[in-house]
Amino acid sequence: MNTMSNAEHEIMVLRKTIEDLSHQIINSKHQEERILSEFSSMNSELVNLQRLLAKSNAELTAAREEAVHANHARARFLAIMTHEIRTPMNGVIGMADILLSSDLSDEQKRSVMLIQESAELLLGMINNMLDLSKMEAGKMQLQESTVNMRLLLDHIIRLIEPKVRENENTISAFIDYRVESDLIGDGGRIRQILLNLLSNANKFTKNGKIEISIQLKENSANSQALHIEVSDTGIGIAPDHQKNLFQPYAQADRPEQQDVEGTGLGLSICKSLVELMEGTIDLKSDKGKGSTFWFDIPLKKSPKEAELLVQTRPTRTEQPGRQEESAMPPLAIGQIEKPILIVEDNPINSQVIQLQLKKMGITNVHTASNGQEAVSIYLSHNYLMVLMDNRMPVMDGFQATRKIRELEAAEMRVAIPIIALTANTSQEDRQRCLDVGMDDILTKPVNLDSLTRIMHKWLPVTVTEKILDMSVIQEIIELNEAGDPEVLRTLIEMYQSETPKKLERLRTLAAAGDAEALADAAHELKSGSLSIGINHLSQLLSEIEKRSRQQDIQEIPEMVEALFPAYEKAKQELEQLVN
Amino acid sequence: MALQEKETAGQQLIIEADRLAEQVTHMQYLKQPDLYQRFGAKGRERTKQDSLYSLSYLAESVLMKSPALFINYISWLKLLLSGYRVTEEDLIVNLVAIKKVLLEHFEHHDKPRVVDYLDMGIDHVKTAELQQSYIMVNSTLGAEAGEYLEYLLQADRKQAYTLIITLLDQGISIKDIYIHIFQKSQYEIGRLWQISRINVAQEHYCTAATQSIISRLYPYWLQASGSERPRRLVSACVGAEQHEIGIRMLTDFFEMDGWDTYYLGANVPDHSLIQSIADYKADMVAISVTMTFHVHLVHELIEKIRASEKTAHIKIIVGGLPFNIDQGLWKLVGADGYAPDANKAIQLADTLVPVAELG
Repeated sequence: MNTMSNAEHEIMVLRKTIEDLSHQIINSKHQEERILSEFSSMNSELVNLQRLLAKSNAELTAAREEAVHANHARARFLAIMTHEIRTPMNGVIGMADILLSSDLSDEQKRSVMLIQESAELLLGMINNMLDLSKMEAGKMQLQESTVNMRLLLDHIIRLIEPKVRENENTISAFIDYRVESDLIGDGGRIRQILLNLLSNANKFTKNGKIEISIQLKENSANSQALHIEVSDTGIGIAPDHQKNLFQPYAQADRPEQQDVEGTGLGLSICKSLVELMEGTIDLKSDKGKGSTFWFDIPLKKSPKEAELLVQTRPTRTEQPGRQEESAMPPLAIGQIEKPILIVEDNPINSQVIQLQLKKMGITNVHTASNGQEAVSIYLSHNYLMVLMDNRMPVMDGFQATRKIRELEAAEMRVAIPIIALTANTSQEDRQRCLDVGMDDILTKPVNLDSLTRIMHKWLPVTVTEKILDMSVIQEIIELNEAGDPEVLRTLIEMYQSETPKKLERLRTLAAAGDAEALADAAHELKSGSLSIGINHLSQLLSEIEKRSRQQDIQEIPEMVEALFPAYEKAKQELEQLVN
Repeated sequence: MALQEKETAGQQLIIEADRLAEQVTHMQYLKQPDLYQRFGAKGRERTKQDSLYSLSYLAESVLMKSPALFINYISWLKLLLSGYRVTEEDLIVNLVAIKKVLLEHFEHHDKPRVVDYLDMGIDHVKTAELQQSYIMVNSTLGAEAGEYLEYLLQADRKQAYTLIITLLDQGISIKDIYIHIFQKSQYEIGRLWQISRINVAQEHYCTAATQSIISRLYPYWLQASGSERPRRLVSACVGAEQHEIGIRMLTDFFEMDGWDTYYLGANVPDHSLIQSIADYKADMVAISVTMTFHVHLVHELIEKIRASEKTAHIKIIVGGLPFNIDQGLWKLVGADGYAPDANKAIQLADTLVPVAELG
């Protein structure tokens, strides 16, 4: 019994221990599962939140894009609208101009002048709105070229002077002698800013003084920072108005100036333009004593020409050439249709000539490294000119020239100008060149001046002739105070809508051989073309007019045909100017 | 007894399940005293839990008049128990014990139906077959799904994520990744747990890892809806369901299809779900169930949605395992439709809420 109970007791204790352990295990299992469940629920909630977050992020992004898009659309609308208004406005101003020059009574003249002034005022406002919308749309871009601040200042003063006198003001200008005259910047926009500040100064000043000063603020190797001030002795601006002055439409909040015209956009545009130039603009003013508006802008220095040319010609020959440079007008070459062929065995020489041609705007260039190559390439191409080295392996320049002339004779092709490239300047050698059929001689080393001279001499007139007369175009652009090419644009549109018809008429008249009508028609189109600076086409027309008047109409049909490509070229160049 | 007759047999069974389960366990251990030796105290606890589970499924099956639900559960249970060295015979003893307890201790006029369903289940034990793996190497993205699951089982979620990103970079669509990788691996994880190849902690980890990967993918494809007034979907899971990943994926599919979707998750109280439907001005609500014994909750929820004035008009679709087992079940719970998978759900939604209907 005792032994039994001992053994049983032991078993009982063991069983109890096992049971306890089992319970513990079961409990901890339960616990584990509960915790795992909790963990999973928590994770699910987190993922839910993350989904919500990702969704609202996507919505916010879309909303932002929509807002940006709406803003762009608004600015675009404004730009289109203002353009649609400006075109007829220019028509109104132009017609009023014509009307003024006709026989009018004083009463009528005053009325027309009122129309003109109102139209100009309206146009100015529209131009400002257009600028603003361009800036808001991020479309405003600077057009950089060489700026001569002295010339610019001179122009501006001449433009503003009549208005300054109207208000019985005097104007004076100062420019730091250290300001370089060939800085790089957007001259048109600088002029716009200055004109704006000046006309503001004049608006708010009666019987006082207006001063412009351009100071050199910083001078570095590559740029000059200018400090430009426009000050007046006018009514001044109260401090609390000063801070909002560069905001759009700020002027509207200034009741004391309600009699002064303007959209109130001018200064905000000036600020945007100055900032686009990476500059700053601000003012200092005392009420009753006048205001000084100033802006600082950095302008790049233009690279020195000598530095540019170092690579393209040896320095030794540079000096004598330079003196003649001013005498030789630079070539204004547009795209040439046919290429120029350079035949030269020395690749460096060939490269130098190519670079020089490129500087003149000629990039359509083929090369051959000996006479044989030149002849075979000549067979399959139409060239404007051949520049031919005399001494080359395989086949020299003399032989090649002879071959080409033979081919031309056999195929009835027009003889192409062939220019010899030679280091030998003896009379004998020159004669030899001409004997084999070469047209001219370029002495090595070839420099820009001699090459330019040769090009002037031998390239067809259509290539070298200036297509546009920029001085005329500049004058037209300056008609508009803000320096915007709007007037030019309108004129070009008008010209483009009429000219094709007139050219067709010339063609018909040429075919009919009606010399008198031809002369009149050519004259009319010539005047129209000259007035917007279309140079080359006008010269062609002038020649047609001259010959027609002399009843010399044999070559007229051919000359009339040449007008069409000339017109197309002029059109392209004009479009580049205004776009 | 007359008082209890107010409930249906199924409802009555749910109420009494715990008490009956205790009696079943007691009876089974009387019949098989060796069970204690084989499984210890833990085994008895398990037996009671399993019995409770079986009773719940039986109850739901009766409640929904759907024997298929219970039969499917038997297949699942057999597979699960085999992992614990519980034999077919043990299972039959347990089910017979349930039957005996019901006959002796459960009173309801509809009791014969309950016993009928149980008999069908007992018969099914013999025929139920073991389930094959869900991941087939030669099916679409099968090899990748296998690789993905392997990473998860090694607790290497970084590699798993890298794999998914690589697939996306290769031009595999998010939808394909959802269907062929996430869904398949989830099914497989369930099966592996059922046959005791992985433990419950691993199951939780794998699911959580996939969820976290899904959430990291949101910025890749979630976009603001393009149309003025996109169709709106509110989705949720009834009851305290851990198995919410399926409806989450379904909701994402709707979002990818241009719907504006709001996934409320599991455990959402009925009244907040109804409030959300109204707040979001939803056109449709999708409700998911995985655990068959939650089906009656869907029924109740749908009744509440229909009863509320602000949500009475809404279209309701349901989905989840019970609806797949018994394809007529959706009508019983009062839904407008059911779909076996996400793509079919979208097709169904297009007929229930056509795009053109909206201004």
